[in-house]
Amino acid sequence: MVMEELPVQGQKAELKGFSAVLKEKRNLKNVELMAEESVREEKKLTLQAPKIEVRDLNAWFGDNHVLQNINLDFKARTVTAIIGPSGCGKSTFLRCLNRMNDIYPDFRMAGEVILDGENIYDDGSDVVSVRKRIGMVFQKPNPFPKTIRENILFGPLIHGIRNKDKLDEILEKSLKAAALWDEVNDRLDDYAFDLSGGQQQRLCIARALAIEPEVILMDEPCSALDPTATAKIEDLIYELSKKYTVIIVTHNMQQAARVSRWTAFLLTGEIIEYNATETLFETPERKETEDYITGRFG
Amino acid sequence: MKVTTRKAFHEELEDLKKTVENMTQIVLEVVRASVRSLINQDTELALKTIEKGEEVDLLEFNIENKCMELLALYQPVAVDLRTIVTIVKIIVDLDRLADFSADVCQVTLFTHHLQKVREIDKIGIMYGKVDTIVRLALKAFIENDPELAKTLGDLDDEVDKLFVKVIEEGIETMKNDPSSIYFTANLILVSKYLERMADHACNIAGRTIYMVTGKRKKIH
Repeated sequence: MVMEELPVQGQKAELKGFSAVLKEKRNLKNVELMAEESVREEKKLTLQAPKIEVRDLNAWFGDNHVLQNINLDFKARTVTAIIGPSGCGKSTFLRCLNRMNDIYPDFRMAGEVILDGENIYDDGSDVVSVRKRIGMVFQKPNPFPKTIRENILFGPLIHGIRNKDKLDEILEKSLKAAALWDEVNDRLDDYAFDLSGGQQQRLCIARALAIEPEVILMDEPCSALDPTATAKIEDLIYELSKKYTVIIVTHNMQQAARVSRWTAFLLTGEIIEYNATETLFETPERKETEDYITGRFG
Repeated sequence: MKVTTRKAFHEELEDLKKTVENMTQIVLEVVRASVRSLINQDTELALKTIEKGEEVDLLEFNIENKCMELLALYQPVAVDLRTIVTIVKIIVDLDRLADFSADVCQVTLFTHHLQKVREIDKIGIMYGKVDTIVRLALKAFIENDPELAKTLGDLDDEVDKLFVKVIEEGIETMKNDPSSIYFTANLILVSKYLERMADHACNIAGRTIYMVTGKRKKIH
């Protein structure tokens, strides 16, 4: 049997040619992908202009130096989570953002919290107006011992709104924004404590929204709630972030991962890492972050 | 966070890693035995090795189940998440390594009665390199050693070159001696299996780098 002569060498040369072309294409594609990615990343960063800039923030309770040299930008219309072990200063930090610590006599602070370009700790700054712009929701639902309607309209009335149509509009809008309207619209004059825990917490969120804040601070808003109510609040946080800047302190890392776009990890009063949430939970940059989120300490 | 449950999780993760380590040992054994059966034309060893390879299927199944369970129950993050996802990925590579070994054993069964052809020596040399890659890739994974994993690309290039050589020389042999065609053609298949084995080992190396450092790197 005579084998037909195979032009092996020729084929080899041709194959080499093809593989060079393929390699080139592959490299091009990688470069393109990387370029695309970095543009996307940049866009995200630039689009999200900071709503609040924290500059060299230090805080003390008496001699206790509870927050140390914190520099952080909170992006507008997005959710930022602050995580960290108990006692690391999360709540204190959150309360610095709307001057809620001012009420403690042994509290001292240095540094700046800049809201839309203005330091809220400036001498001329008005605490009431700061707290109107930066609303707060607490760990335990704390409705006023009043009706649902009175809870929502408490703030607007204090701020001088008297027009009944306007007040009705605020009532409906706030309850709708807090995803509570459908559950309570036929009993607006019921006592707020008759609501379930999850409903009470949404009522508190609606109450915060009624004065049309720009930033909403949430301090462990779900820690007193069951999983169903928690899921509702988390959905609500996502909805709110389309319009408001939301900053949430949470013990629950899965919750931070679920609801936030950015996460700051605070440890003994210092920001250890501030990163896009998916990066922080997949490939954290700092060993301390890794140890904390994987439960190796804390 | 409950410290007690997390402890249980890390214990479970350690157990899981041990099971994967056990799987890597079996795979290494199967890969070696398959080539030995071919070179020694040992059908008994080939049959035994095919059977042993089935253990790998079962392990792959069990390990994947365990990974799903850990993901569902503990929602791991960071290095723990990367470890589990890496395991899910590399057990597929390990399974493919065992499958290719079974294919080599099949070739032993097809060709054990034939006169050996000279390409079998090349297969032996090629195998020496594949064995090193597989062994080092598995070592890098088990010992969390990304530096070791990074070194395997060069060895893989050598295997690729030998693969081309086996084809070229095989074609020559077949041209010169048509009676060798059946065996030689089968050996060319074996060289492809070996070349793929090296690729799968490189996948494991690349995944190891991701698991330890969080950075994606392709080894080839």
